[in-house]
Formats: sequence, C-alpha cells, structure tokens
Amino acid sequence: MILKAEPDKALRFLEDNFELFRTLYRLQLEHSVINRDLFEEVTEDKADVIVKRMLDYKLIISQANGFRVNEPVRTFLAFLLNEFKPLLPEELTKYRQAFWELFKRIQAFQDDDILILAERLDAFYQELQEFLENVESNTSQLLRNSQYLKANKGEIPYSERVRRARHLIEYYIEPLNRILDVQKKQSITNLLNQVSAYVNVERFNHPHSGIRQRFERLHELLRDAEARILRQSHVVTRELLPLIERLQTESEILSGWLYFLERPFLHQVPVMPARRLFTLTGSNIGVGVELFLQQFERRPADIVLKEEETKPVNTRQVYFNRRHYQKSLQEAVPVGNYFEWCYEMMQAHESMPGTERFLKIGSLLFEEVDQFEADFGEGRIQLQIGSTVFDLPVMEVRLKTTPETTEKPTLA
Amino acid sequence: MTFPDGHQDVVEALLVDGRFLLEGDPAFMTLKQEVDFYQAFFMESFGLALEYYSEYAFLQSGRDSDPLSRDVCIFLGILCYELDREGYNLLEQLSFHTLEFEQVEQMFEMSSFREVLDATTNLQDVQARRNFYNRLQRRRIIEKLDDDTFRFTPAHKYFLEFARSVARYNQRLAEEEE
Repeated sequence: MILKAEPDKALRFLEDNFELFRTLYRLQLEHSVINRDLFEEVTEDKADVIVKRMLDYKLIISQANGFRVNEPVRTFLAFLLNEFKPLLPEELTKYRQAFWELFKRIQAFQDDDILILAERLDAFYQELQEFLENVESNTSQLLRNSQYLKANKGEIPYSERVRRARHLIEYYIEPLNRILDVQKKQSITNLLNQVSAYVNVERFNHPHSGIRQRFERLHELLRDAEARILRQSHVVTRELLPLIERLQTESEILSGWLYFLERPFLHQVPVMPARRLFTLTGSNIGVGVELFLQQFERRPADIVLKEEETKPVNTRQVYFNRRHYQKSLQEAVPVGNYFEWCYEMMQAHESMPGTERFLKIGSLLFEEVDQFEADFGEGRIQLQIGSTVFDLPVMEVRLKTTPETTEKPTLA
Repeated sequence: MTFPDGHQDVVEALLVDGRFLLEGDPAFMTLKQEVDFYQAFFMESFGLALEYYSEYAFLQSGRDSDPLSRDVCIFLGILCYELDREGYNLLEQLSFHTLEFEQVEQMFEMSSFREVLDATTNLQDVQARRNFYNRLQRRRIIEKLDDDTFRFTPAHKYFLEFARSVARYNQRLAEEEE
C-alpha cells in the first residue's frame, strides 16, 4: 500500500521518470536484481528526492542485496515495453500442477459448502487467464529473439548465432512445444481438454444456478484458450523449431523489414506520390474553409409556434361502418345492379368516398355468402371514383333461398 | 515550344493518377527520351521531383504523401517474411514469379504478424485486402493476371530499396554504439 501519496501522484511520478524506470526494468530483466553499485550509477545524475520518492511510493523496493522494481510495477512495465524474459518451461509447468489440483477438488466436490466450489472455479478461471497471457508473451518474446538472430541485428558471426539458436531451441522452444502439444499426454493442453469435457457437462448439469454460470464462463474461456494455444503452437512449429535452417539464409531486405515491423505505425515510410486532382491547395482546404465560414453564420431566428385555427389535413374517417352497409343491403334486396347500389350507398354515407371504401363495400357481398346469392345480369356498368374508372358487370343480388323453404313436390 | 508526343499520357500517369510509370508503358519511352526536360518541367510547374530509375519512374513530393505507402510496406514486409520462412528465394519470387492471392491469404492467416495486419485498417480482412490489391493495381505496383494470380511490377523494387536502407541505417547505428 502506498502510504505517502495519492495513487495518481505515484503514477505521474512513474510517467515523469519513465526513462529511469525503463533502465531499471531492463537491468532487473538481465540480472534479476539491481545491485547497489548499478543502482547508484543509474541514479547518479538524478536529484536525491527522486530516489526518496521511488522508495516512498513503493515503486522500487530496497532489499538485502540491492534493489528491485516492485512486482506490479514490473509487470506493468513489461506490458508497456513489450519486453519479457522467456520463461523456462519449468516455470510454465507449475500451471499444470495448479490446474490439476483445482480440477481434482472441483470434481471431488460433494454437497458441502457451495461457496468453496465457486471460489475454486473462480480461481481456475484466473489461473487460466494468467497462463494464456504468459504463454502468449513468452512465445512472442522467443519469436523476437529468433528474429533478432535471423536479421542478425547484433552483427554476430554465423557460428555464434547457430549456437544461440540451439540454446533457445533446446531449453525453451522444444520444451514449450511439449507443453502445448495436445498429442502429448503430459501436456497442459491435454489436461485442459479433459477439464473442458467435464465443464461442458456440468454447465447444464449442476443444480445450483450460480455454479452453472461459473461453469459456463469457464467453458467459454476454455474454448477461447484452445484457439489461442493452437495459434501459439503453430508459431512454435512454423517459425521457432526450424530456426537453425532459417538462419542459413541472410537477407538485408528481410532485416530491414524486421526492423520496420517492430514499429510499423511509427516508423517512417518511403514517399509515394499522392493522386492529384489538379488541386493546387493542400488536402485540408475544405475543412479549413468550413471552419472559417462558421464564424460568420447567423443563427436562424428562433422558431415560434403559434396556435392557429388550422384544419387537420386528413380527416379520413378510419372507421368503416360495416353494420350500416350490411343492414342496408338486407333491407334493399333484391338489388338489380349491385355495384351501382354500392356506389350510391357510398356517396350517401361516406364523407370521403374513395376507391378503397368502394371496394370495401363491394366485398361485403362476398363475405356474406350464406345470406345472399348473386347472378350476372345483362351488360356492364362504368363507375368513376376520383381518377379511377371501374368497369363492372351488372349483378343482381337477392336473399339466399334456404333448401327448407323450397317446396318439395308432393307425391301424387 | 513543342511538347513531346505522349506528353499528356506522361503527365496523367505521374501527376493525376499518382502511379508508377513502368518500362514497357509507351509513356515511359517518352519520359526516357526526355528525362531532363521532364525533371525540369515537373519541378518548375509543380515543385515535384521526378524519380527516374531504369525500370520505373514516379513523382515525389515531401508534402501529402499517400498513406498507401505504409500499407504497402506492411504488406510487403510481412509477405517477404512469410516467403522467406517458407524457404523461397525472396528476390526471385518477387521479381519473376506469379503469385496466387489464395496463397498469400493462407500465409497471412497463420502469420505471427497477424496482430499487425489486424491493426491495419486496409489489410485487416479478406475484403479489405481485395480492395487493397485493386489499389495496388491502379498504381501499377502489381499486375493482376486473372482473378486468382498476380505478379509484382518493377515498381516493388522501390520498397525493397527502402527496406535495405532501413537495415543499413540500423546497422550503422549498432556499429556506432560499440
């Protein structure tokens, strides 16, 4: 806990003295601890108050054999600078132990405290995240080391480079491959597959919903882990294992590209002609003019809303009074010219007669098939409604005669 | 004052299209025959320097450089790395061989520089890369032979020279530090 300052003050101090911290971080990366002489050398031209603050803010810790960067700060700097020490495979295998222990306990769980099961699941989740991050930063560090050798950045003679490559392969790359290779029984990937199978079932099976949620979350992370580990495994097989063969060809062009790709968005690039559409001004002229003219814009007068007697534009009566028309038809039958009747009814009843209304009225007949029947008469009728002209047959409509009302011929 | 035959083509290619003029283009012949004239012409008229090499030419300006340049460097850099990793001879592949789009896609998919590709807007997925190839073609950096294959034009050598200069610069820095 930083007692002597607010957290943001400590962070600002880190920023203000970033170069110093970068140097200290790199020293620690190389030697594991910063001995007193080295520390003195590095802080020689800094004010005493800087050293005091570093220690007060607990960014640097003093110990028996020297100084070290406090662990959380060290991790943060590693992330910012993207510089790691490749992990010895022994360091990675500790995760296998952790996963195995947690997995055993999670499986063995009987009806005890649900809380401890939840905690174990959370812990597994956490460990897995850490493991994945470690593998990824480790592989990328190994990759960079191999690219360094490949591009021959240090101008090292070929034999020495091969020796270093062999060292990397034997102690770091091949063991990493064994850890990641799902085929190998002892690999972490293999174990994670077993866990995945178990979790896949438990996320539906377990009676407690909070636990099921945790299993679900873990399941998703495991699926993600599979893809991420596969990626890293590919990098190992494709690029790291064949390192020695790759060292055989050296290329100035490739070295150049590798330098460039270290900071592809910050590095200078060669000038290339831009397409010119005969504009003799710079590319920002449009924006510039707009900004300049904005200051002369007059604000439009505020819009005042007045309440007036205004008639609404559309007073179409939405409601269609079917009953009215049904009743009228019942009273009117028999009707000699059905569509003409519809038209007249519409004009009489509707305030806004239109084709839509006409069709609605007309279709009533076809909806009331059990009540009415119709026959085609002679000729046709033309009806104009608005700008549409309907050309319709003459139709006679009458009440339907029911079979009972027809007199049956009596047997003589 | 008379202008050479094909003058309009030269100006259109170099100035308006902003592309590389390649040996084999009729306009390149015009340029080649009157290099001194064109150097003066572009400098006096537009303040642009003519970069003329035996196989290609283009106009250079310090201002408003095309952001395409960075995309090309990233694309070519990663492509070179992958080709080398696969064991090909870089210069031979780029200068003389026909490449397949599909082959490039597969290499990029598995590349350890995938992160860089994902962070480059114009290269981040298959669709973006397809547009990118079209832009490369318009600038005459590649030549599409059909829907599946392409080759690099001599213009790509400009970028390889850039890579060389980066390597040399850094080597000099390393030597000075010793």
